[in-house]
Amino acid sequence: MKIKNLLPGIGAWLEERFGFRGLSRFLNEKRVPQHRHTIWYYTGSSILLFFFIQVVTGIMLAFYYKPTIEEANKSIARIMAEVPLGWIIRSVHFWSSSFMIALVLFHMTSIWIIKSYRKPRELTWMSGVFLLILTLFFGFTGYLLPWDDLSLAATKVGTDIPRSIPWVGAWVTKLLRGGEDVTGDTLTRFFGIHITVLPLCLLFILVIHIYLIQKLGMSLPLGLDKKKEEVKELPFWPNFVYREMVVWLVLSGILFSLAIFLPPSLGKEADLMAPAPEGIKPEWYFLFLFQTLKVFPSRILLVTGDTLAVSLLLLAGILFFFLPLIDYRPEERKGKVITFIAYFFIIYAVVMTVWSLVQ
Amino acid sequence: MMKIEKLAAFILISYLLVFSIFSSSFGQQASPQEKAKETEVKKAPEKIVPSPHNIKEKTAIYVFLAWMWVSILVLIYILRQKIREVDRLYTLKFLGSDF
Repeated sequence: MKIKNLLPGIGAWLEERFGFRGLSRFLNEKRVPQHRHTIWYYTGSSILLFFFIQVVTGIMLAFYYKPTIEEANKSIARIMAEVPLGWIIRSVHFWSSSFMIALVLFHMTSIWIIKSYRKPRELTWMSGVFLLILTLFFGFTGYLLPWDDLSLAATKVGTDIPRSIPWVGAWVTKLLRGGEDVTGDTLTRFFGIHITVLPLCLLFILVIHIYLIQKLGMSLPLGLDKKKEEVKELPFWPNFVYREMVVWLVLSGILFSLAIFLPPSLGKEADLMAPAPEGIKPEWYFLFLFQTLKVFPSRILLVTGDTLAVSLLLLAGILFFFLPLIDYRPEERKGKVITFIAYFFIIYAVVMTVWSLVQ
Repeated sequence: MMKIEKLAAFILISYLLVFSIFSSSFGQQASPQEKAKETEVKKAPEKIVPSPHNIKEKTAIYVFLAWMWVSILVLIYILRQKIREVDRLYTLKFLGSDF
């Protein structure tokens, strides 16, 4: 039997079992609207690219990393100094996480501004908010793993924030830390969450999110959805995928260049008894929250500043999650208010982040 | 003549043997001041800044970086041609839904 006869035979055999033809027909029929906001459509697939890079580099790092207080810092030092190209793998993992979070934030704010969360895409938005929370939690749990003085102090501050939530706060802090304080148990817990719980949760919600996007199709910005017939469309395969590939290539090039020229350093091993070092700061994506908590007065009327700030942030998060249910009618006026809040949030986050950086 | 050759070979082998056995300990013959200095350096550094381990790795990384950007530019060029082609075919309505 010749190979050229064998291949179609294998294809037919697989087709009979998997039914790929339906998928290829779906991809051929899928269309992407072309308008002035089309650029935002590229963020979704780029997030997937960085998630893939995170998984690959994360697995490579997990081969050498040891999640105990005696070995964690030393194993990272070993990855950086002894493992061939280990420092680049760690650097790519570090930068890729930042890229992923930045793109998730861009993706969410673009959807917020062009109002793609409206009926029938409420669940797409809500699953997206879950994915944002999971991505931020990935960053938070990963920050402790090098077990240096800065990561320990930042985790102490970070895990102490939920304590200000009324009624359940102390319990949440204890659950996160695996005890009253940040110890070796916290490190092991964070490592377990970082490499098993979070990837599984993220994959599960990601499947739902992508399914909903495929089922409901690409949304059109407010205003354009009324003149749907006038909007130009492009086939997803291959026209749009080729364009996405260009974006992936450029982003990958920037990622590897940054990873080589600006690799993250490693501080000295954390000492549980040592006082917190000066200038503790979380990663850039938590800076605006950190600064918000910092500038709040210690007491407002009968409530402590921390409790009020955390409660307000929690309330804002809940409103953000239920945004499609708040802004459900295609009314221009309400839409404008929501757009104004979105722009205000962007300016606020940027100002607070810069303020925290220059301090 | 054979005697001299044997003697030369014996001296050479003994020299190599002695050198190989003691060479590792020769490196450790440092003065107490130097030893103190070494332990001071080895005492957990404040910050480890990663960088290429040697000149060979450094060169390899820069070559890889240059190669990567050249490959990216070539691939973008090819993709641009492909995009033009598929867009042209789409506007001509050449491709059906089952191509």
